[in-house]
Amino acid sequence: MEKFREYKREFTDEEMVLHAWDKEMIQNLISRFVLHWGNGDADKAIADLWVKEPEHTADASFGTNTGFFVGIDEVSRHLVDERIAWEEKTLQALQAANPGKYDGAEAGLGTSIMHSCTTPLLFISVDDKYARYLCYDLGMTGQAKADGKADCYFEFSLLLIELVREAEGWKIWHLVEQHDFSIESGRNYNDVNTFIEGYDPAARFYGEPTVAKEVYDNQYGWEYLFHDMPRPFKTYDEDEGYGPKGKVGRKFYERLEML
Amino acid sequence: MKDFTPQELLCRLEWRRELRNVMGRISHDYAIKQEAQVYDRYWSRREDVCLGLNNGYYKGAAAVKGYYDALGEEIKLSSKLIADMFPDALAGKTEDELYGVGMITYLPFESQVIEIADDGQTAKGLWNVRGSTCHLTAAGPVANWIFGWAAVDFVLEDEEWKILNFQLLFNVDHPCGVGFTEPEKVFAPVPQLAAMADFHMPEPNVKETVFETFYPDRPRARSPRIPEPYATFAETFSYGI
Repeated sequence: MEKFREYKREFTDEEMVLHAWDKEMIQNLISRFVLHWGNGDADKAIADLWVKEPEHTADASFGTNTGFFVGIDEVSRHLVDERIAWEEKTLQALQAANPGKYDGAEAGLGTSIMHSCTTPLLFISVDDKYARYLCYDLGMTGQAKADGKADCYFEFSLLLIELVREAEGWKIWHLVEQHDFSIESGRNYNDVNTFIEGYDPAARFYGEPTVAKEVYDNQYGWEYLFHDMPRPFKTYDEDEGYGPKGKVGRKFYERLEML
Repeated sequence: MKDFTPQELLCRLEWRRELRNVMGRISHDYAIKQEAQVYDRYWSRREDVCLGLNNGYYKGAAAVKGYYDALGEEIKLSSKLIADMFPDALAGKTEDELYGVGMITYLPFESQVIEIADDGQTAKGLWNVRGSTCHLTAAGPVANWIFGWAAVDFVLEDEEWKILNFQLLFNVDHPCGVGFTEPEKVFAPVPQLAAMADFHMPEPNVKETVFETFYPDRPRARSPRIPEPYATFAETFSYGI
């Protein structure tokens, strides 16, 4: 476990307090993000919690199982526009099946999403400019169907997050959501032949990424790796990071070839 | 947020830990059937406290205390009925020894956003809640899945953080084994548990829909408002009414 031992650092009392405070504020920030995200208020989350400085916004990224959204506008397209499109599609299906009943209804009717950030790992770089965070995102989704029922799932994901300290404070820079599986509420998961069918209800949330590539194959799970867990680090390294140019999302056997 | 000295930040770190400890203790109190003690242990003694649940608000100290007292009465009744059903294991036990037998409620609180007022007199927190409950009913024990939020206003009293307002709102509160929006299964009554049908929690004294659990055509719904940095309680919003 040598790699998980903190670098020996000399802190004054004041520096130690500020270091602890930074960690607390990063946790507050990530929690705030997952709550906004679930609420469908990712526009506010991006405005308040994501990078703003041009040197970071250009390659800010959000990764899903099927690729990376690169650049803050693309992150917004996924988290805001594609969410709105999903909500509108849900409402339109209800309206088409029930003429007149939902006229004038606000998009978001018939939908529910909750995200979370539990069991976090968090490290701040020795140069105090970057942070890496890993957590489980254990949540739920609900979506109305035209027949008046709803598809509802327990959702299980990981969030790998890279933060950078900007003039305003800590901001989210790169985030990868590795979605593992969905369990339909009320259905025995063992009755679902996921291995043969490639069953993945969450695929409806992956969107159309800027860079389409397999980031996480939840059939085999071989991109969920020890190598990507946050650990003590000196400074940002693009190759080791959670952005589209980093190693995250590469399969175990590919990583072995890099060693 | 105003600028604080390292000493002040250290104090705030301790406070933040203590606020999480309060919520952690409440969560574990539920798990060990001590939820009836939550008012006595963690609430402010102020008269204007407020508890919000999906179906309304318990406004005022008497109403809030009455709600938690009723939880205790429900536990006593459940324990007695279970003891009567399982005499081999439970006969001869006192009421105190039986208290809470058989039932469990898991309300883990996580993903917290906490803000402490600049003046250090109040704090606000919003937590995700994801767990399960198990209640004894007249048809036997029924377990539910829970997804929701705990939104809390705290006030500092005698150097301890106490609850001023608490919203415990469920987005999903539905029996295990059926879809979140599917009809609940109906179980046959159990004659030995018939008394549970006569037990009812007190209604909120401010009856209104605070939050609706998810259903297929529920209008857009959001979590309780996320705390924002603030200077004094007078200038921010409240989770009470």
